[in-house]
Formats: sequence, C-alpha cells, structure tokens
Amino acid sequence: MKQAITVFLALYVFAILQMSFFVHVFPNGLAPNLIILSVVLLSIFERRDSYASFAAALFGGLLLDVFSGGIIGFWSLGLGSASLLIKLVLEDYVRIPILKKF
Amino acid sequence: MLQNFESRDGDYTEVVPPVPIPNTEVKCLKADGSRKARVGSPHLCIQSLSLWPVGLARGDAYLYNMGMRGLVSKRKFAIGTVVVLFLLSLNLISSQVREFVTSVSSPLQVSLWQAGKNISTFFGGGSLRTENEVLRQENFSLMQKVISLQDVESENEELRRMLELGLVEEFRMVMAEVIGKNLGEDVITIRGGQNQGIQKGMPVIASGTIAVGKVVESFSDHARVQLISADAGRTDAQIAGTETTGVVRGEGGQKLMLDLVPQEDELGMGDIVVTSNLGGVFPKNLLIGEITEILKAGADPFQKANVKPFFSLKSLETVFVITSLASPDLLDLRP
Repeated sequence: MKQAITVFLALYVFAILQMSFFVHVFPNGLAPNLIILSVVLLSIFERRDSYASFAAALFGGLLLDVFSGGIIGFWSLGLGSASLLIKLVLEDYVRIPILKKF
Repeated sequence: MLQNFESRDGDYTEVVPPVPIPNTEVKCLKADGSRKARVGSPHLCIQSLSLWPVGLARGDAYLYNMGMRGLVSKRKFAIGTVVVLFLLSLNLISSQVREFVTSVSSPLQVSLWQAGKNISTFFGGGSLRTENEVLRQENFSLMQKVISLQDVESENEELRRMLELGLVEEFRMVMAEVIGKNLGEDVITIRGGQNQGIQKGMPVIASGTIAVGKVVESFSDHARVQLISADAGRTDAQIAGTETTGVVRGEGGQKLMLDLVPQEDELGMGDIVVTSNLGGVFPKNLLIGEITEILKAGADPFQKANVKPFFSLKSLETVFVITSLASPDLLDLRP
C-alpha cells in the first residue's frame, strides 16, 4: 500500500513538473514525458503477478488526460494497454535474467 | 522400425511409427503400464486424463493454454469494463474533475513554474533574454502599425474616418498570468477564470496584439486556453494588406498552416497573416504569423502555406483575455 501511494504521488509530481518546471528547463519543448517513462519502466521491472504498473498506467494516464484538456480516458486506456502489452511480451518472449524483479 | 522419443517429463517411451493410429486408439506401450503413449503424427501425450499437443513451439503452447483458459478471465474482464466505464463517465463531469485537480495542484504548480523560470533565466542569459523579449515585443508592435498603415493606404480617407467613428470598439481585457503549459497539445492554463470575468470562447491575445488562442474551459480562478496552433484550431485569416483570405489550421506542436486560399491569389514568402473578422472569435487584424513555405498543387483548387506563429509558447508568460467583444463584424484593431 505504501509503495502504491509512493508511486501515485511520484506520478502526480511528474505530471506537474512536466506542466511547469520542464517547460522552462528543456528547450524547444523537448521535455521527457516522465509518466510514460515511469509506466514503461514499472511494466518492465515489476513481478509477473503484480498489476502495479497497470494501476500506475491508469492513474498516470488520467493525470495526463486531466492536464491535457482532451477526452478523459485516451491516455489512461492507452497507457494501460501499453503496460499490459509490455508485460505480455516480456513474460512470454523475452528473458532478462540479470534484472531483479520487485 | 522402432524409435525413441523424449516425452514431456524426460523419460523415454517406445513408439511404433510409421503406421498412423487414430488418436482415439492410443496404445499404452510403457512397461510400467502407465497411461502414456505417443503414436503417429500428430500425436498426443495423455497424462492424468489431460490432453496436451506435443511438439508445439512454446508460443503455440502458450496460445493453446490461453485458449484453454480463455484470453481473459471473467473477473478480469469485469474489472476492465468497470475501469473503462469509469474513465469514460468522468467525461460527463470533466470540468469539475479538471477544476478540482487544477485547484489542488495550483500552489505546487506555481512554485515549480517560478523555480523553472529562475533556473532558465540563470542558465539562459538573464538580462540578454529579457532584452531580446522586449525587442521582440517592440518588433511586433511596429509590425502591427505597418499593417494598419497598409490598410489605411488602401482605403478612402473619409470611409476610414467613418469606420473609426462607427465601428471601432473598445475592448475590455483581463491580464492573466500563464501558470501551466502543455507543449504536446498546445494548451495553456492561465491564472484567471470566472471570478475575473473570463468565460469559455473568449479570445486570448499576447502583448503586441498577437492572436494566441481561445478559452476552452473556465473555472473559478483558472482557465484553459487552446492555442490557435492546437490540432483542432481553425481561425479565419487573411494576408495583411490584401484581400486574400483563408483558414489557418493548427497542426499541433506550434505549427500552423494557411489553407483554403484560392489558387488565383498570390502568396509570398514572408507575407504576414492576420485574423479576419469572419470567424467570430477574434477581432480583425490580430497578428497570427508569417508565411515560411508555399505549397501549391496543380490539381488542388486551393493553395496552402506553412505559417510560423508569432507567439512563442516557451516565452509566453502573460496573456490578455478579451472579455467584452462586440459583434465580430464591428471589430477592428486599427488605431
């Protein structure tokens, strides 16, 4: 539970950072999308039976939806699907033995 | 001819090919009398009353397994459906959701905005940058005057006086600080909302009378502004000093395209594109951008042109919302 709250808080801070801080720091709008990055990394490194990355994808996507002004659900469902796809591919077709799952 | 095959559990089982035996007539050939056998091709391994296709690649076996238990369980399907419905239903109260999130985030967002600004100023040249910005604004102001003068030249002095007397309206504008930018979708958040008289649909300009966008959502103390360069943005426009009209389409990423310009009209590189009063959102003669590339196709009845917008999303820090806009055909920005 504590871990989930930490992840959700981090995603929230990332979303705000992206909207405010990064606009000034990164030139020409080439700021990294930390939410997408986090979801991808979580999906890669989490345990097989865990769905934390999926939940994080939905929450992070929801934040992107809310801050973007578009249809709510576009980013959440997109990121959620991407997270599940990454897990599916990694579980069944890729083996990275040196990486420790958490 | 006898041949040995390794079974799934690693032991060796004697089989009798090549005479194919129907799967229903699988023989038990093991000495221990267990129910295991492999016969012919394709063959099955029968173990503990379960069927498993032998000789399939791992991917095939996975798909088979998925097929056996269903791609998704009923429980997961139900959860997925609930999540999708929940997310889509949020669109019904999207304004409230966005207002809540924006209000909660506002203090942190403002602090980070200021921090980013300070860091950017520190590393980005400080006073030189400020001076550059001032000169840019001055340049836009001069450009606006040139455009106005071009219009003046093309009209009769008396008519112009009449227009000024009867048609030029005073705007009431609200200055608003930009507190958030979504560079990917060309949307900005400004500090100022319904409490300051800002309503949905109001035009937003930057200093130097540069068209920026329009308010798409207004909350109590914040508003969201969709820039003219946003994907869905459509702005009626004309080439300054001419009668050539067209539509400026947003292409996202702060890119604009002038479209629907008849082939017979002349477009030139560096032509200034301004708003026309046809669209009903912006007053006439607000600066939009400069033509950087003309795209002409022989078969197309219209020509297009890439337009570089005058506003810079990166340096956009203060905007003005026109709160009292009279009938669009009565508005003109000429002095």
